[in-house]
Amino acid sequence: MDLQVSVDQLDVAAGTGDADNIAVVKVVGEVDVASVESLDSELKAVAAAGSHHIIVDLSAVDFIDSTGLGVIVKALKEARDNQGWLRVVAQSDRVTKIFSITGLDSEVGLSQSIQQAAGL
Amino acid sequence: MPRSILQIPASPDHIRTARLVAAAVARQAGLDEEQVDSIALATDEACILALGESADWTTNSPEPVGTKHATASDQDGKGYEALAPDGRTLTIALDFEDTGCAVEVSVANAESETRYDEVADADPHDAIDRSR
Repeated sequence: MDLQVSVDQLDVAAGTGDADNIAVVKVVGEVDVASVESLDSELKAVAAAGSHHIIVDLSAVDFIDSTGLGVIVKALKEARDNQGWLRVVAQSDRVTKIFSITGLDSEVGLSQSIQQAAGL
Repeated sequence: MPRSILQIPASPDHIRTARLVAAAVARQAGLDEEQVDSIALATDEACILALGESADWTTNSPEPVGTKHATASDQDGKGYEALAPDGRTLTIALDFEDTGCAVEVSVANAESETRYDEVADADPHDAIDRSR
C-alpha cells in the first residue's frame, strides 16, 4: 500500500500562533518498514528547505510502527537542533497509543488538530 | 487453538501482509480489537527485527526520547534498500494462549535460522517492550 505524503505551508497570521512559518506534512496510509522512506525523504526535504516548525498530520494514518516513530524522532531532533519544533496530530487510538506507550506523546506535543498543534 | 503459520518472502514489501493476516487470525480467535491491534503490531515489530538480522541495520537510541528499536541506517542512503535479502523466508507463527498470543518469527535461508519471539497480550505496552 502506497504511503501518500504531502507538504503545505500553514497560513498563520503573524503573531497569532507559535511560529509564523509552519510546514504541515500530511501522511495518508500505513507507515511501516516498506513505506517509511517516503515520509523520511519528505521530512528531510522540509528541513533542507529551512522549515524547522513542522506539524506531522497523522489523522489519516491507520498504522505506524517503530520505523515510522524513528524517522519522526530524527526529524524532531533536527528541528530542535535548529531552534524549532515538530508536533504530531493524530486522533485514532491505534496511532495515539503507540506514541503514549513509547513516551513520545509529550515530546511531539500530540494534538487533536492542526490548529491546536500550531498554538492557534 | 492450533498454531497458525504464515510463510512469506523476507522482504519489507510483505510485512503488511503478515500483520493483516495476524490480525485476521486474532479476530477469528475471538480477541477484541485492542488485542488484535496489539498482535498486528507485535507481528510487525518481530518481522522488522528478523529482517534487520539479515540486512544493513544499526541499532541506536534516538535522542532525546528513548525508543530502542532498530532504526534503518540510511545515512548513506542505502539502508532501506538493503532490507530485501534474496531468497530468505520469514515464518510467522501465532500461538494463542489464555493471556493473549505469542508471535514467533523466524528467518531462514539454506544455511541458518534465527528466531524472534514476541508476546502480545491485552496490554499493547508489552508488545512494544518485548520487541527490543
